[in-house]
Amino acid sequence: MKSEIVATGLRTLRKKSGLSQRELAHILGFQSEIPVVRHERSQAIPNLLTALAYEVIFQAPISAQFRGLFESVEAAIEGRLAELEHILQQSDTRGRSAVLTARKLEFLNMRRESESNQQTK
Amino acid sequence: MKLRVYDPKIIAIHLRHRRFGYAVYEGHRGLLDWGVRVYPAIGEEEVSMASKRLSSLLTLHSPSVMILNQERWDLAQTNQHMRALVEMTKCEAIAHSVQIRLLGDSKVRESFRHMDCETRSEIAGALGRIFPELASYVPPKRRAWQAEHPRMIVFDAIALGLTHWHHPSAELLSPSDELTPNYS
Repeated sequence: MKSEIVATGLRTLRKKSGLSQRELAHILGFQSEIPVVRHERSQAIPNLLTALAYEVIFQAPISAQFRGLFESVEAAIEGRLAELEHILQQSDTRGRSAVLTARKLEFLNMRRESESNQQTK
Repeated sequence: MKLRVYDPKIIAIHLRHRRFGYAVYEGHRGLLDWGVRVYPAIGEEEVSMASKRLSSLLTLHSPSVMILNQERWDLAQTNQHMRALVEMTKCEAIAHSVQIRLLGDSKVRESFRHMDCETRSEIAGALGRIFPELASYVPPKRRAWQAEHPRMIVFDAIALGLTHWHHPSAELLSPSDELTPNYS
């Protein structure tokens, strides 16, 4: 995937660790440092295994290492969740499906409350 | 949508002939990136290479403010070579919507005086203590017969950036401001 060039937290973590791009690539099992360069500049998104490897190496959550990417994913998901909630609230269901709808709405509500609690902390 | 507030991002640039040192901060304790960019050419090619190096950095980090050394800026009045580099820096600042702030060496020294630092070498040592990740890069003390260590320019930029947080009230220049002589 090719996208806008933006520095990720990965670059800062690597520089703070003193590791070179080549050394990091070697730890990850890459033949050259090019994938690391691309991940640092957000020019490529690492696959799940590589992202987990970054988390293991730097002991920092992936969301902190790829903050911009995390925020754009978060914004898209929050938007779709709000859309779903609106649809569920508007739906006119009865019987068993009404119970299921209520359960989904309760989950969305609980999710929002825990999120606001985290923000106040 | 969650509202997150981050510290403003700044980039400190220490311009020299054929190379510049840079440091990127997010808040006064958040040193994100640092290093040197070299442009080993002469004349117009040097300016063109420097422009590419600076542009890639500004694209990568998207800072809101660029900190430059006042003395280097003033040198552009008399030195045609430096004037071309300063003009290039201004053009890049305009292109990336970055405001420019000038800080003099006196302000940098003032910021580090409480740590008993007067010389650039002492300031570099102090930066190594403030940011442990830099400790292994602190240049050794220069002897009178030795040339300046190549890494010193990075520490100049890091010190310049840190000074920005110590003197937050100084005014920002619009990149389109004309070069004006400073006789103070």
